[in-house]
Amino acid sequence: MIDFDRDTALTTKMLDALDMRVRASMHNIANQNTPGFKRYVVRFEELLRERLADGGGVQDVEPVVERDTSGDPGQNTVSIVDETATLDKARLVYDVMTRRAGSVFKLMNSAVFGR
Amino acid sequence: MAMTGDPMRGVFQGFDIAAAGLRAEMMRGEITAANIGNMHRTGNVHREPYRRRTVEFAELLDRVDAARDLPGGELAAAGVAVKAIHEDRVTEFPRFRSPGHPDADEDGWVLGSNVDVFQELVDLAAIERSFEANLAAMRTYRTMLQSSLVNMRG
Repeated sequence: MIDFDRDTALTTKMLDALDMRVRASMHNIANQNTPGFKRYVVRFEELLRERLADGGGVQDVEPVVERDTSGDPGQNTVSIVDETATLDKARLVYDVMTRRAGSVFKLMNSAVFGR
Repeated sequence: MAMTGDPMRGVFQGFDIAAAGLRAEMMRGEITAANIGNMHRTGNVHREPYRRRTVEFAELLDRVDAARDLPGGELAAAGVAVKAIHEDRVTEFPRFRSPGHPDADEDGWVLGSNVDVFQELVDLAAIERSFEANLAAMRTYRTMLQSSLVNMRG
């Protein structure tokens, strides 16, 4: 029995985390002129690294949504440059991960149909 | 991902966030345009001249408990909305003497609007930048989804 989930588990988790991060970034950009808005941060990669170092698996890691608390209460903490960079980085990694998933599907296709 | 209810909801939510940002910036632009359009509407002590308006934004969340900022969990971000439109009651109306003006009082004084045209023009440039940032975010999101369709075809 081929463990299909094992090959796609990391990709699935990563895509979920990236989608969440991109939505958080878009929310931050939409709120760049909202008084007192504190930006959202989605953490995943470093949590995954820690978990893997502890001998855990991808399944045990979930992306964590955090609210920035820096600055005065009325201060908006959105930096449009940082958010744009986050968006573009996420887009590139998203592309890599979807290609990775695609190659698994291609492999399955050639195994089953021989093409 | 929590796949409850509409499975496509998560996908299109990203577009809704950017659309909310665009809508809010558009509203701000309209108010700024109204300020510039009415900047010459004069008045006097009896009849108020045009008062400058400003837009206040508020963050939009799609769940009530999200306001408590619990660590982890699903993202409740839903963009931004116009919370209120304020009238500028701080800046005073400029007063100038113009006898014969339809709005002039007995001594020939006229009250002008408290719109500062240069401030409005600067605001308009800033709004344009904000609008473009939201548009770029929407475009990036679309590219992401599009490439995932192509890449994962197998």
